Amino acid sequence: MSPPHLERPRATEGRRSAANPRPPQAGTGRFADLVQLQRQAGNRGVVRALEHAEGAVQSGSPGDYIGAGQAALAGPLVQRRVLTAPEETAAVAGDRGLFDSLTVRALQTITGMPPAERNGVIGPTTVRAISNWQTARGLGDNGIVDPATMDRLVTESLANSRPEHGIQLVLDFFNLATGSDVLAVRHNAGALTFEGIRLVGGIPLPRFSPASTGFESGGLRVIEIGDGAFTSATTLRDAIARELSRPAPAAGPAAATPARLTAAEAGSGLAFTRAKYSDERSVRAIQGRVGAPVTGTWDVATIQFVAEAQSSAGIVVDGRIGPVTTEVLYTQLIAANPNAALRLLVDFFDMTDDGNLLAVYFDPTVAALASTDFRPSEPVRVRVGPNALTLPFSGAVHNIAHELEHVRRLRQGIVSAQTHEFLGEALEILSLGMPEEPLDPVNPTHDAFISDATRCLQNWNLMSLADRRQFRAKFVAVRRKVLRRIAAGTAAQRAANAGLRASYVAVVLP
Amino acid sequence: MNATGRAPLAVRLSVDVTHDGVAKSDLVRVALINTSRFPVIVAGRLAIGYEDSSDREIYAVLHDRPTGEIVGGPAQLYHRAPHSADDLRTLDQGDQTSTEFNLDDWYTHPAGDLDLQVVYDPSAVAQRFPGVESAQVFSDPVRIVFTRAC
Repeated sequence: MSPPHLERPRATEGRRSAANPRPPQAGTGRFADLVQLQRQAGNRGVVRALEHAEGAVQSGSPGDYIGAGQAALAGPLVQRRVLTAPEETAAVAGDRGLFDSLTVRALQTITGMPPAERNGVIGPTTVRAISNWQTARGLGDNGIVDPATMDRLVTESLANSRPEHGIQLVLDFFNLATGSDVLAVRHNAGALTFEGIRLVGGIPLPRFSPASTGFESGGLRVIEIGDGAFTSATTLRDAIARELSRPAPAAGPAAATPARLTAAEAGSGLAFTRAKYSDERSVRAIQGRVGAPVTGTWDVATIQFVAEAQSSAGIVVDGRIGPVTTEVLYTQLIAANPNAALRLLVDFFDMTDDGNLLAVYFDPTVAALASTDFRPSEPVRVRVGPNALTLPFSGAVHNIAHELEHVRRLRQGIVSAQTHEFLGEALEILSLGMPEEPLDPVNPTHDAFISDATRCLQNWNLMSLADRRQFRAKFVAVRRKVLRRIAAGTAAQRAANAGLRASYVAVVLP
Repeated sequence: MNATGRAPLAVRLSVDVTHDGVAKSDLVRVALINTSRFPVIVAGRLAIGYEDSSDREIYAVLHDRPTGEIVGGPAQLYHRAPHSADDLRTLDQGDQTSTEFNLDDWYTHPAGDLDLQVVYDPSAVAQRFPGVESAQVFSDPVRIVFTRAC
């Protein structure tokens, strides 16, 4: 049921359809009359955008004017109407069948819903937002995500620097299956694949498709989508579908299954490993690495290959892929198969993202160890940079865990970067369920416990009082752990870190 | 220009814009130059970050030209190791070291007529490595007109 203040304009504005939209009314000089009309209609968002634009014009700021017009409305300004109750019900029913929760949150972001309302659920508020968004662009205004709406969502996702949102929408809308052998579908502006030569007017010209696929261990795909695919939803769909259909490189001739373990040992290893690794992509990555037939399913034969790999690595041969074997496999995979290696970590350590992760992938352009989009209350990406490839196993685990803490906290709507970093470092310091990092770095480009502890305290000191109160217990646990680790260090380490220890002790709790 | 008026360093920016300032790309090239007559030890990693973030040696400041107001904000939560001794550099007279970053990748910003400054801030590095010149250095502002927000 619409609030009363939203129902009033329906009587005065009447209904419109895509075939009969109101003419654009922005750009006609002063907006006072239009602002008044919109205010009466209860369209507060449009009022704010117009006032912003008006203010920018009056202050001689063309940039703000452009920004307000494009960011808030992204198209000709059109009067909005309110959906009728039957229309709203139909839109909710129609859109609910199209998208999962993650995609709905991307949709809620693109259509400009306030952060607090991006709950991943298609309801009356969401279909009203879609309807308003459609109307502002001269599309149909029924709140149903139809092909024309999808086309515009895709183009705007790229224009608004959120191409992964467009990809997510298309994967879901067209039911493109990416679960079993796809590590990531990501944007890369210049991605292209040479598709042969065609004759244009008798002249041979190269033909390219705007996407590419890289293959990692076990035939796992990393699909990159170029800007050229974002011209419409169907273009993007076709580009992804083309990459999904590319055949993986043929595996080499299968080796005979080793028989290093007894049947009982292999069965035990199988049960253990199956409980630790649940993602089919992890299975494929490991099968590809150990030379087993790539089936995506744990079986006794794969466990025998794992035992053979354990023997070659000089570790306990039991067919169980526990932390030591995972470290061996990760280390063997990371250089040439970074996305597959990251998948192993996420799967083995049960790293969760609370349904807020669009993709985690290796990105050679990332200058830091890793980076997460700083976008509170919307789905985000995690990108891992080349510097992370040299991290020791514990550092690699911490690196991903730190970023996924950001992903979870971003979903909660935390807007302070200092609070995010405090929480990320706190997670590393407490190190629950993860291997501990050494006190000092083993390599200058690596991170270590002391650098985590230093940053954690720096960010704590920059946090708002409200956030420090909220996370007081976390700080207390962190401080206890920091003091304990420093105390357990060598005499030289204790001396070197005496200042940090004193700084922690000196903190007055809020 | 520098914060204290005494720093022997200068920061120079290069951005790809049309004759009327419209950005053709978001790539920002940054050069740190020794303008003194003496060798200067600098934090040579020149990693980009934000004014109030850690493990960074440079950060950007964006001003709306008409109002002078600071605009924009951080676009990433990043994770980086501290600056190491291996990355320290000694710049002799006239020497420079440089880096580059994509502004849109690191900063949100509105559309419009903006001034970009980059600040070299080695204070955290200088605390750990005595001998590193510690003064902040601001580049001259460079005008960039963005046709869309990011």
